[in-house]
Amino acid sequence: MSQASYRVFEEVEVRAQLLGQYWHNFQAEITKHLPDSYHPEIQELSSKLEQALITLIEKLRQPTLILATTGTTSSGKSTLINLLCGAEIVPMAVSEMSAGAVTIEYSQNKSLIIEKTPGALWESGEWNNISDEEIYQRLHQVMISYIDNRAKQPHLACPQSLIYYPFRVFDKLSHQLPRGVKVKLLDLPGLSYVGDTGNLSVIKQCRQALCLVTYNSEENDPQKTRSLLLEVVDQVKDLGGSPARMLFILNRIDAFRSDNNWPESEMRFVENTTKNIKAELIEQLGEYTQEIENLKIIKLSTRAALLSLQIQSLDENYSTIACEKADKNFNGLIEANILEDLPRKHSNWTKQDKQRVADDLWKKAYAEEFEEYLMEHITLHFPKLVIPQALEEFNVAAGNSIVEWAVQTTTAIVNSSQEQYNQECNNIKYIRECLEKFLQENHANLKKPFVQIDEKIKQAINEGSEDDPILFLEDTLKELQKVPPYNELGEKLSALYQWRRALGKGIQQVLGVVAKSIESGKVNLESTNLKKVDFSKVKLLENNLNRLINLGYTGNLAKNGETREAKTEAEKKSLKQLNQELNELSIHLNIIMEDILGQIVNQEKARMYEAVSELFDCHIVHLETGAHSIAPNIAIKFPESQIKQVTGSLGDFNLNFESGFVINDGTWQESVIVETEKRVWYHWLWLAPKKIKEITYETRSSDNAQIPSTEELLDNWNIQVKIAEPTLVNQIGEWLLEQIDCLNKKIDDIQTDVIDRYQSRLDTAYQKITFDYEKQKNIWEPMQEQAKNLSTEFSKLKFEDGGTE
Amino acid sequence: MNNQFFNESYEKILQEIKPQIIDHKVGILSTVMYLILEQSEAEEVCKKYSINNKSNLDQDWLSMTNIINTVFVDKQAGVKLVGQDIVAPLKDWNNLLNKTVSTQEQKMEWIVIAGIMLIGVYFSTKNLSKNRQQLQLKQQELEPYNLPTKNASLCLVVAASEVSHIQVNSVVIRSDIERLIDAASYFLCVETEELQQNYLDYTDQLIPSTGEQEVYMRIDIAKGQAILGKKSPYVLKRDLPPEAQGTIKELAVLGSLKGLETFNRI
Repeated sequence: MSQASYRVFEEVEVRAQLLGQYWHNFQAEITKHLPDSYHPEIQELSSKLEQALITLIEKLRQPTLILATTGTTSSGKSTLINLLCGAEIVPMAVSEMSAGAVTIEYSQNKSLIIEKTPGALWESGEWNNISDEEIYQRLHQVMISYIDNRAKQPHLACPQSLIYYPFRVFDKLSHQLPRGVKVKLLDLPGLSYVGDTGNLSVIKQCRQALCLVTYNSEENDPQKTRSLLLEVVDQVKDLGGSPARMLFILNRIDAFRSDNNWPESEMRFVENTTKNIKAELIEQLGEYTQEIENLKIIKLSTRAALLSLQIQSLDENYSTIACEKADKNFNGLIEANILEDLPRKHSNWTKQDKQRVADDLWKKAYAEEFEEYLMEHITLHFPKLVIPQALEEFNVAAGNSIVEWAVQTTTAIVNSSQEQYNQECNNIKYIRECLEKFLQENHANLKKPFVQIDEKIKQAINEGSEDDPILFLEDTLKELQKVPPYNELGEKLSALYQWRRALGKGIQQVLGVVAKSIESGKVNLESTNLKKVDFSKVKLLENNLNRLINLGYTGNLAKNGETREAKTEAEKKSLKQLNQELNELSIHLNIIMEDILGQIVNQEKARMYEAVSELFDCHIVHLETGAHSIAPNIAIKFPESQIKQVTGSLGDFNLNFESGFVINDGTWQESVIVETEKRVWYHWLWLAPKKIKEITYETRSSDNAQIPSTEELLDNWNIQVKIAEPTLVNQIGEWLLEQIDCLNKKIDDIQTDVIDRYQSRLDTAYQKITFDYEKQKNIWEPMQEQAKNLSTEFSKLKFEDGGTE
Repeated sequence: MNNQFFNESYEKILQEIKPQIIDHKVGILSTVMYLILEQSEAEEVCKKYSINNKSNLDQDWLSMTNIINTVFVDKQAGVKLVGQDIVAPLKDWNNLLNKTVSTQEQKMEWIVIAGIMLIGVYFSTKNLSKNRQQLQLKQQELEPYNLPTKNASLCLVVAASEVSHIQVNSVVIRSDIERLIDAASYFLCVETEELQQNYLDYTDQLIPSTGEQEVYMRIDIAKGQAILGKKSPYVLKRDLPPEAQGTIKELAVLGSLKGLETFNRI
C-alpha cells in the first residue's frame, strides 16, 4: 500500500514553506544591494507570497473529501451509504427508488435538514439531536411522498437532504487524511433524476468527488445486463472527467453463493463483467483508455456487511433484529459449523455467537477487502483532486511573479552597464523576433488541421460536396495525434470526434425502442436514455404509442406498411386518426429527443472541453519549453489556468422529426345493384326471360394514403439526422477555431507582456543602478545564479502521480 | 359482381375459339384446351381429365353433358323451390338439351363452355393448394417475404476491443451479430456477390486486444436476403434470419476512414 494520504499533503506543505524561506533569504540578500526604489516592489511580492502560502496551506490542511455513490438500478447505492455510515439511516428500497440527493457531513451531533422544495407535500425543516430511526423514517416519508406525487406533478423537484452524522468511515479514514479534512458522503439519485435541475448543484460537486459506482451483480438476464452496462457507462459520463477516480463495486455478489460451484461462477462473473465494463467504457470514453485499463473493480455484499456491523451494536434489541435478518437472508454466507452451534432463538445468541456470525459475514461479504481498496483509492486519488489545483492557484497568485521578478531583475542588472545595455536591447529585439517566429509557426501548426476541417465542412454545406465532413474531422484529428508534440496525447482527442457516435447511439436506442413497441403491440420504453427524460414527456409518448397500436398500427401493418384506400366515412376517419397519431409521434419524439440529445450533448461537450484542454496543455508545455530555450533568462511562463480557459459555448443539437403521411384525394367505383330482365343461356337456354340483378358502377371519392412501415419511419428519421449533421459539425468546427484563436492570442499577449516587463526592468536598472560594474560583478552574477536556483525550486513545486517531485 | 364483364369476356372467347374448331371432326375439347392454355399447361390439364385428342364430337358432347349434370343436376339434389322438388324438372335437362341443341355449331359452343369450366376448376384447385403451402411457409417464418435466397455480407466498423476474441473464419451466432451491430459505428449490408473489394483503407496491423482503433469486419450470412440494404440497426437486427450464423470473412485495422462514405453511420 502506498503512503498515507496526509503525508502527500504534508510534503507539499513543507516544500511550499521552504519556498517561502528561499524567497525570504533571496529578498533579504538582494535588498542589501538594490536602491530603495526597488523596496516597495519587493515588499509587494513578499506579502503576495505570504498570502498565497497561507491560502495554499489552508487548502492542504483542510481539504474536502467527497465520496459520492452512484450506480445502476437497484444496485444498493443507499445500502452502501449506510455501510459507510455504519447505521441504517438512508432508506433502502427494493425497486428503483431514491430519497433524492442526500448529503452527509461528518459531525459528532446528529441532525437532519430537509430542504424546502416548491410544490412538495413532504415535511421540510431541521431536526437536531435526532435518532437514527427518526432520520430513516423522515427520509422514508420524503421518498414515498415524492414517488407518489411524481406521477401527478411531473415537474416536482427531487428532494434534497443534509444529514450531520458521526459516520463510521470517517473514523477509519481520519488517520490517513490531513487532520483538518472535511469528509462528505453524497448519495446521488438514480438516472431518472439526473435531468432534475435541482440536482445540478449536487451533481457538480461530483466533479471533485471520488465516486463509488455500484453494479447489481444479481441481474443475470443478458438483455438487462447489457442495459445495466450502458447505465453504468452513462453515469460515468454524467459524472465527467476521468473514470480513474471511480471505484467500481460489483455489489450483491452473494447472489452466486447458491450455485453449486459458486467460486468458479463468481470468478467467471467478475472476470466477464470487469471485461465488459472496461470495453464499454473504452468504447465510449476512448480518451481515458489507459486509465480504464487500470481500473479496479471489486466485489462486495453491502447488505451482509451492514448486518455484520449491526449485529455488533451495543443495543441488544437492534443487534437481535440484525441477527434475525442475517440468518434469514444470508444464511448461505455463514459457515455451517457456526450455524450448527447457534440456538434457534436469535435472542438467545450469546455475545460470542454474535461476534462469530458478524466476523464471518464481514469476511464473506468481502467487506475487509472493500475497505482496504477504498483506503488505497483515496490515498491514490484524493491528493490528485486537491493539490494540483491548489498549486496552480498559488503560482498564479504569487509563484510566477516571484520567479519572473527574480530572474529578470538580476539579469537586467547584470546587463545594465552602458555597453551591456545596448547589447541586451538588441538581444531582446532578437529574442522577440525569434519568439514571434516560433510562436507563429506553432500557432499555425496547431491551427492548420482545424482550418482544413472548417473548410471541408463549409464546402459540404455551401457547395454540397460529396465529402463527408465527419469522416474528415475524425481522420484529420487522428493524423494530428501522430504528429509531435501532439503524439504525446495518445487518444485524448477522441472526444472531438466520438460525439457523433454517442449521439447516433442515443438516437438509435430510442428509435429502436419505439419501433419495437409499435411492432410488438406492447409499449416498453425501458431504455437508459429514456430513463433520463422528464417522466411526464415519456408518459405522453407512451400514451401516443398505445393509441397508435389501438388504431391497428402494429404487427404486420407497422412492419410492412400498407397502401390504404379509405372509402367510407368511418374508414376515412380512421385513416385521418392514424395520420394524426403518427404526426403526434413525431412531436413527442422531437420533444424527447431534444431532452436526450441535450443531455448527450452536455456529456459530449464536457468531454470536448476536456479534450481541448488536454490539447492546449500539450501545446503550452511545448511552447514553454521552446520559449525557455530561446530566452532562458526571461522566465517565460504561460499559466495554464489563465490562458487555456475553454470559452464560448457549443449550441444545442436539435432534430425535427416528421413521420406522418400524405393523404391524397382519390376515386373509386362503387357497385350499385340494378334489377333487369334478360334472356340467358343458363336460364332455360334463352327460352324464357330471367330477372337479373346487374351491377353498375358509380364513381365515388376516397382518401388514399401510403401508410409507412416502421422501417420507413426509421430510415426517414435517420435521413433527418443526417440532414442535421452538417449544422452541428459546423458549430463544432467554428468553436474549435475560436478556441485556438483565443489561446494563440492569449499566448502572444503573455509573451509580449513578459518581454515588455523585462525591457522595462532593464531600462530601470540602466537608469537607477550606477555602480562600478566590474566591481559589483562578483555580487550580481552569483545573485543571478541564486535567482535561477529560486526559479528551479519553484518549478519543482508541482504534483505528479506518486507525489510531489 | 360485374356481369357485363363476364358476358363480354365469354362472348370474346367464343368468337376467338369457334372459327378454329368449327371444321374439326375429332379432338374438339382437346383443341379448346390447347387454344386457351400454354402447351405445357394444356398437356397437364388434358392428362388430368383424360381428354382424348382423338375423340369425336359425340364423345366430347357426352363429356360436356356429364359436366353439366354434375354442376346443374347432382349439385341441386335436395334443393326445394317454393315447396317443390327442383331435381325433377332438372332431370329433363339432358333431354331438353338434346332436343334444342341440334347443330354442330351449337354443340361446339357447349363444349367450349365445358372446356372453360374444366380449366377454371383445375387451376382453382392448383392455386388453392399453392396458397396453402405459402401460408404454411409464412407461419413457419422460413421465408418472411418470400424473397429469393441470397447470401448477405454484413460489413461493420467496430472498436478493436470488441473483436479481440474473434478471428477470421470463426463462426458467430445471432446474438453475437446483434452485439456487434450494437457496437458498430458504421455498417453496410450488401449481397455477397455484389461486394466491392478493396475500397477501404485496410492495414496489415495486428488487431490490438484493447483500445478504440477502428476495425473493419465482414460477416457473411447465408439466407440473408431480408437484411440486404437495411439502413437502421434496429431493422437489421430484426430481420436477421432466426437461426443466423455468420462467418467472419475479413478482419482488418483501418488506416483511415476513407471509403466509409457509402456506409450507414450509427
